[in-house]
Amino acid sequence: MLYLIGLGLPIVFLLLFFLGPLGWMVLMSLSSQTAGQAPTLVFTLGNFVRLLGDPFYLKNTVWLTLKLAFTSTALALMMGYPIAYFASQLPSRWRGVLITLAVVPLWVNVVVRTFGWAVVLMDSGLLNRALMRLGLVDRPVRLMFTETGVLIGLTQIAIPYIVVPLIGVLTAIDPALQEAAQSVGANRWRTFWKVTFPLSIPGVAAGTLIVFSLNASAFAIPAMMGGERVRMMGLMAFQQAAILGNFPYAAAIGVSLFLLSISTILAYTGILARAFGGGR
Amino acid sequence: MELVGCAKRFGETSVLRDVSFGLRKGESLSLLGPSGCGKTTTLRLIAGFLTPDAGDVFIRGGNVTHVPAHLRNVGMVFQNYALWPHMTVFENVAFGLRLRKLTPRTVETRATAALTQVQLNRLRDRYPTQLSGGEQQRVALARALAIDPSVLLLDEPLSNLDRKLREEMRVELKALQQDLKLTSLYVTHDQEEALSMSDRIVVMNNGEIQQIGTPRDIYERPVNKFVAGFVGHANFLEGVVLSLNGDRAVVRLPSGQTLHALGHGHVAAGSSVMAMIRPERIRITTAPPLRTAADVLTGQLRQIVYEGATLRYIFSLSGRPNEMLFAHGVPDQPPPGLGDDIYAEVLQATVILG
Repeated sequence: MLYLIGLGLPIVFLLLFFLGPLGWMVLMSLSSQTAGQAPTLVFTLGNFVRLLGDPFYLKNTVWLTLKLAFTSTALALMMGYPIAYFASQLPSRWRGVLITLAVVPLWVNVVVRTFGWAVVLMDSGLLNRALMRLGLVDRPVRLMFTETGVLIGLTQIAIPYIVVPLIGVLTAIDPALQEAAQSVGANRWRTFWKVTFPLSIPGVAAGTLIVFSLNASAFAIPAMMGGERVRMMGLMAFQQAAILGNFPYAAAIGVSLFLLSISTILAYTGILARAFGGGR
Repeated sequence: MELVGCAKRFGETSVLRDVSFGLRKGESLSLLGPSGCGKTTTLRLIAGFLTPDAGDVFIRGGNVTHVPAHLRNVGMVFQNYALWPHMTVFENVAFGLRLRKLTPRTVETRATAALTQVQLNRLRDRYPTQLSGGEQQRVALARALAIDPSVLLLDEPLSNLDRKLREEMRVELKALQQDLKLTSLYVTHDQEEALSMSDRIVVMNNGEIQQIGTPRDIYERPVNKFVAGFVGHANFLEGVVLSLNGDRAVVRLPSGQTLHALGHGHVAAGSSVMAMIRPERIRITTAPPLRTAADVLTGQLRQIVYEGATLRYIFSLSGRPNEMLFAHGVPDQPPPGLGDDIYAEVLQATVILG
């Protein structure tokens, strides 16, 4: 009985609050709407054609979204992996401290965090003043309200999601596995690439999957750090729905984003499983 | 391979003090001691995973104290095997070979040879998780052997196997050791394993070497109570050395009875010592044994424990009712009754220092 409730409750919850609205959104994306009237379900793919068939949207929204999600994930992995590796070598007390430090960015509200970035990145911000003072540039480098600015914001928020699962996986690797590699002649570099890194793939996969999904659907960061110029799909869906009132088109953007994320993730996990899945 | 005056501290605790011993080419040596005695630390000093605070490590005549592990050419078999789960059996074994500048053909040949030595070539394409404990153990061994190590280090390699398999592997490992004339250092807390597997044994306790000797020396002539008690079972009787003749000593027990015992060079007449008697070197009888050259002590039988292959007699000596001794007997003769007066014929005793 308890088992049924324990299993049933989450299922009911998901059906009601996730799959229900999702189904509704799919139907909405297949509807059409004339301005000022309620959408009617006509099973048209017109909204999708408008998004995916138009080179402008394809490049400035769909491709941009995938590119930023992918790049921020890759950058966060490159920065997060060394942090996680370093943390995994620490005694557990210091590891706790480092984990805490790594997740601090998540404690700060996105609005506050973005204003923080503005102070650093804007034309008269800390970074540009430092660069000019050092004579490295003559004019401020535009970072706020550019793709690069959004990328910086997306990367920063991604790092904790990379670091935390990786620390867990790296700490769980038996040090004897690395010692065994050394004993047969592998230096630190080889040991890392042939033993430690392959064994940490589950952690890499977990972190990058979370980050890619989060950043592909990013809304607040592009909205606040990209302005009108960096229109990722989440932001564009919001604009279509909330500003222009075009719910079917907004839904089509949402459904497209969802399908893109899912297929990227499936392809990615498939590649990982083929490359590193042996024996597990 | 040689260790000279090695010491190691972890923070406040000194885990090794002045450890020195050598390992001849082709020799198999066991490091024997209870957990925490420093034997694993010693092994890790040789492997290069730790650097001693004092002292030096030599391999093939060269000082490798500060040489990193991967340049030492030391093969190691880990207690939990430490096989790489993402590589097949063959890849595990070939890994070390691929790091050397060898042709792919040589790698293939040598890895196959190593796998054949441990009779596992048929499982070469499996992953470690698909193997039994005993098979994993063999892969670990093949991996260490493949690189043709200067020294083979084995860290309690059999302790994760069940008893029957452990005994089989012991025989196999010993045969391999002899066939390949491996120079090997075997860390174990199992005295039976150390006695049966090695040419010489180093007994350690509390970070110090207690005794180095052949298995026979260690068992029959332990230098102190720790070694005697750790390697096998032993009875200890206090006494005073009455006289010495070569390495033969006569010891007077508190009961007034005398005992002939094997002595050590450093025992002087008149000194207080312990006489150590192995339980299988005592023969218990109800009638005084006739025509015996051995010393015969008298006492009372207190308890009999049936152990299958042997009987264990627990008895006390006359005049010392609170000191229990034990002896092994054979179950085929009708045992004496509890409380009976018995005669304990001491076939061999050894003088040790307290």
